[in-house]
Amino acid sequence: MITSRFLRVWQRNFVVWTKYYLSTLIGAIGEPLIFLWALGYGMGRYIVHIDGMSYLEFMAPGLWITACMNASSLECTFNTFTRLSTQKTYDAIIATPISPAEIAAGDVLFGATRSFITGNLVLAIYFLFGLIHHWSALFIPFIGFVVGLFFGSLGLCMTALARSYDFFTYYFILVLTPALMLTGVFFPVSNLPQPLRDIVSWVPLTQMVSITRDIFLNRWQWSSVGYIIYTLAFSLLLFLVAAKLMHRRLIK
Amino acid sequence: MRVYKGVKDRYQFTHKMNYIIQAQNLVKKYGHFEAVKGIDFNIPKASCFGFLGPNGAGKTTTMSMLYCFVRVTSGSLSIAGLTPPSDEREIKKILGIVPQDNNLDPDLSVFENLVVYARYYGLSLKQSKNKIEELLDFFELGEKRNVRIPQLSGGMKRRLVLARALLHDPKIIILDEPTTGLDPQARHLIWERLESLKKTGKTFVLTTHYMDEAERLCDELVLMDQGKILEQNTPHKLIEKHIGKETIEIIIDNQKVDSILDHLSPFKFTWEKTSARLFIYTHEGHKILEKLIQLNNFEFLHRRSSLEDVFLKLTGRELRE
Ligand SMILES: Nc1ncnc2c1ncn2[C@@H]1O[C@H](COP(=O)(O)OP(=O)(O)O)[C@@H](O)[C@H]1O
Ligand SMILES: [Mg+2]
Repeated sequence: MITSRFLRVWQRNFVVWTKYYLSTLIGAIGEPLIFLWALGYGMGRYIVHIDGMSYLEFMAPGLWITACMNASSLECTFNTFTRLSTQKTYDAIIATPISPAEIAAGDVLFGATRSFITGNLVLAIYFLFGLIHHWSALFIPFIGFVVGLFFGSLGLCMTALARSYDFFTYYFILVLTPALMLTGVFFPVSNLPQPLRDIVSWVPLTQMVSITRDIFLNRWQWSSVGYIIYTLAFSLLLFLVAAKLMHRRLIK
Repeated sequence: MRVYKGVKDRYQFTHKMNYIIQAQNLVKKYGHFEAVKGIDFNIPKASCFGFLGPNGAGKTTTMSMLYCFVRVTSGSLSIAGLTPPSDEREIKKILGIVPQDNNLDPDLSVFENLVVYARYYGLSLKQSKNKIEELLDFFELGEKRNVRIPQLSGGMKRRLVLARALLHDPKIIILDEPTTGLDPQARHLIWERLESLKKTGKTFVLTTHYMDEAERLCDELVLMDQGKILEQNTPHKLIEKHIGKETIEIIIDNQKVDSILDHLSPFKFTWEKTSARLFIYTHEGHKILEKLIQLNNFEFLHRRSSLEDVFLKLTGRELRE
């Protein structure tokens, strides 16, 4: 059973993060900015329009999701692994009334928190760059949080199975990077061959990218809410797996 | 309803017996490897109970079963009338844990480590503040309150882990090798603090492979080796029973052992030999000494027997990794 004690784990992570936040934020914001400049202003000149948008307009929402995805993915893989394995922080915590599932919950929530913070900052930069034209953009940070829950849970599953940091290099290169290529961040999903397109449309990331793009352009619909619920349900499932795996990893 | 009644009955039973921890036929297997092979022990309330044994004896595994860090494979275990794993959370609330490895939060200061840890027990900063100050004083860590963990010495880290284990005022404190690797000053400071805590009526469960520590702190001891309990008694009685009051170490070549044993045959003693020494354990030290002086042929040392002699006699002298 998960009690509100998981908030104490979140709080612990937050206290530690406040000591390092500057370096994590610079990394989190720097990457999308570089991409935006290189692909948008640089390469974008050779691409006239996608679905009636400039390439910069097309790509900005996808890059924004990428930043959110990376924030919680990094937190719940490398950082969680450090606490789990190198520092044995979690061994110390399960000597108290906090359970492994609550540790997992605190970690995923913190991953989502970092996505949320990163998302807001990148959004603020977009605003300065004049990429935001509609008030509906105020809903976008909430999507960052949902994306954070999803990738936090997935990352935690990987961490509970990992034997060393190398494992995460594979996860980032072989899972997350291809996912970005296929889910409509850099080019429309409709360009994919048919069977792949069907599979990809069931991946929550695809839906989040497309909803975010719709919100940026102020053309979102109520059906978007269904996709958000779908992503949350998917995240919950992944979280339950992660909690189970963490329990197995922590208690011998 | 029935479950509740069961727990209550057991509580009354343990209460009557005045044992706060009871274990019967406790077994732990890691895969096929049996680390703890069916041990029994009863720990009286408000005592200090020691597990003594060489590396790999299964001490840490036994402690870990007590604080629900590893699952019990079979056998029964009751802690203040509670049974793991179903009462796990309740058990953890009354236990204070000093694990073998210091798992302090390296990114946090001494003070922050305690604040964050108190929160795991549901204590807010407001509720834990006084206790933290008291513990920092008690363990002489006040000056280091804002220092990060990597800057602390081994002894300070250990004291901080001890302070951390006491934040929630636990009934039972589990100490897994509390002073291993520390210098003599640090060890003595920790022993003094533990002795004064003992007076407050808390129960201590301790593992160690230091005989002086066991003799000084423990009211009762079990001697463990290879997953089994070899002996259980008070430190004093363990010595009396297995060794006798006195030990004489004779420095001697292997070839001459037989002849000296011949000379000593009129007396009552047990003996053991290593490559360069003969150990004589006895209650008749003075008679044997007289004989040795008469023979005037050996270098020897006469001393009070210690727990270390018992330990080496029962667990053997070969190296353990
Ligand atoms: N997680 C584990 N998996 C497999 N074997 C283990 C594990 N933990 C301990 N052991 C083994 O169990 C035995 C007892 O270990 P331990 O309880 O740590 O002994 P002690 O604390 O007395 O040195 C050792 O042989 C050790 O290698
Ligand atoms: Mg040990």
